[in-house]
Amino acid sequence: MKLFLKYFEDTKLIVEKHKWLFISLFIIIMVLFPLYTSNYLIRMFSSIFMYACLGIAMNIMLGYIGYAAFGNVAFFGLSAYITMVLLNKTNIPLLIIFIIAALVSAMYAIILGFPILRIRGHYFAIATLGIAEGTREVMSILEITGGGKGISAPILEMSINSIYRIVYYSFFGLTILSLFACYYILKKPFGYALRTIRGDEDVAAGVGINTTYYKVAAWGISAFIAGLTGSIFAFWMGYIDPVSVFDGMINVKFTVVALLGGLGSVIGPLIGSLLFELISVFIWEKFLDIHLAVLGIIIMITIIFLPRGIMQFLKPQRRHTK
Amino acid sequence: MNDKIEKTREKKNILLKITGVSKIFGGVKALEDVSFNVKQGEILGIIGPNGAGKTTLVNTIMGIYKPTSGEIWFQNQNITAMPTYKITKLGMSRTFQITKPVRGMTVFDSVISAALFGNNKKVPLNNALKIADDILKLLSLHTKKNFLSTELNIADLKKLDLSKCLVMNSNMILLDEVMAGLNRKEIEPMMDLIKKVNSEGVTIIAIEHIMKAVMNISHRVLVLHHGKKISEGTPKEVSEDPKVIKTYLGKKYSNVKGE
Repeated sequence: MKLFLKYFEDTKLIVEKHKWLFISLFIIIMVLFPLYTSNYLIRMFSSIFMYACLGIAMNIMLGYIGYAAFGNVAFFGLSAYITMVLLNKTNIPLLIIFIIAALVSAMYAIILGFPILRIRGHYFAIATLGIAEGTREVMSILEITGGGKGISAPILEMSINSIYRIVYYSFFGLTILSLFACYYILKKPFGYALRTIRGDEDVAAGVGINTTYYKVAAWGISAFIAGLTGSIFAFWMGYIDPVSVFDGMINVKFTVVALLGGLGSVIGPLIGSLLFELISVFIWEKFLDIHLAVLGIIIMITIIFLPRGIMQFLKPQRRHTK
Repeated sequence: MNDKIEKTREKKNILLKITGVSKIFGGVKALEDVSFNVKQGEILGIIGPNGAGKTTLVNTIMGIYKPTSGEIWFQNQNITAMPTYKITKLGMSRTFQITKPVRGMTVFDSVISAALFGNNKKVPLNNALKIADDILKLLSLHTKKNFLSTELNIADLKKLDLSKCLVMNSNMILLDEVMAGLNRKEIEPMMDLIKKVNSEGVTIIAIEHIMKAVMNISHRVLVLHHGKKISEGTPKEVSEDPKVIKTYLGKKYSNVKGE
């Protein structure tokens, strides 16, 4: 056992040392992946990368600055609706629609952030849930969004295969880009500010950090990523209604993905999402009737025994040397 | 005429000016009409029994609490109820009585963070790394720079707090019981360190319970009791003040020391 642990530690060190090699390998495999597989697997991996994106957005809030933004589904849904409305009413190219929708979500977060990020802890979490509910209600009342009936996209002259591939590559690209963005942010002064705020807001203010500014900026980034994900999701589904895009399960899922992967680590949400989807597919196959219950138990066990997620396992142990 | 010149010179010398500051929490008067000045380059000790309002005073100066009445002027700027981070950028920083190690950050990282944001101008990351390294060496904390700040012992935590103040190039440092929890062996070097920092031209307000240390390092001492200032003067004057002896010091200090 001891020998095994030592071996495990050494493996981790090797992985750490060559991490860029492994990351580029992963990217190459994932880029080539859709060329050789079935639509089913492409769908599955699209979903994995979608939750990875949402997990990253959540990780920025919950992992980097310690604010539980459970209501991030509000930006997901809002952006999905904006995409649908713009697709129906205008002729703007798809990519620009995505960006407009995500920017509007980010603005929404920034405007809401100034009052709401003044409250801390559980209260903030509840307030964000309120935002999600409120946004959903507004979307189901407005006429332009089709109210409770939902809204569908105009029929595109594209084969189902190419739509799946566009969706897959969009989610995949967004995941990789946001991971690099997070990696870059954490190395920069911005990252130092975020981590100090997570540690203690009074200390952060005491070393000259404008906490409100950084919190709002972080939420803006988080909402931007969640928004882009929502836009791509809307395009993928072709039809959305308030219940499907403001679904509480989406909320739970991306929170679990972020927790499972390991809060505060850059690559955590991606690993969390891979693992979560694989586990849930497996459970779905074996325990169709009670798959949610089994999933719940697995989540509970993970949180109890691995409070800092899978990354706790995968990172080499820190040594107190220079 | 001469008097006037003297007066303006004194005004220029005054770094922190507190006039009639009160802070009331519900029915509790934590601070009541406290006024005093701190001159450039001095060490002002603040003493007083538990609950005298010492930490409230620090929090009020640093903008964490808004004073109920009164004004606080720092470097001829009104900083009453200014947000903490702005006051910090003006050149005033503080240590915490109950140290607050930043969870999940190494010693080095938390000092870098102070170096990055505490100064008035933006500091590039590379400079911040160097400054942080220098200060940690100065405080002989560099052997522990890769420790998580939550893993440090109390003496090192106090030093870490102090090193954050130093990298911010503060003009004025408020030390909130920086010696509390230190043993005798650790107090001596800390006193030397404070004197050394002061000799570089940094003004210091030191809140302290350890009388030996306060009397040793302070140029002037201010005594708070139930939120009111009851005495102010050189350590010798204060330790002879009958009011102070009665409320705080006890008879032992009546014929003592100071400089």
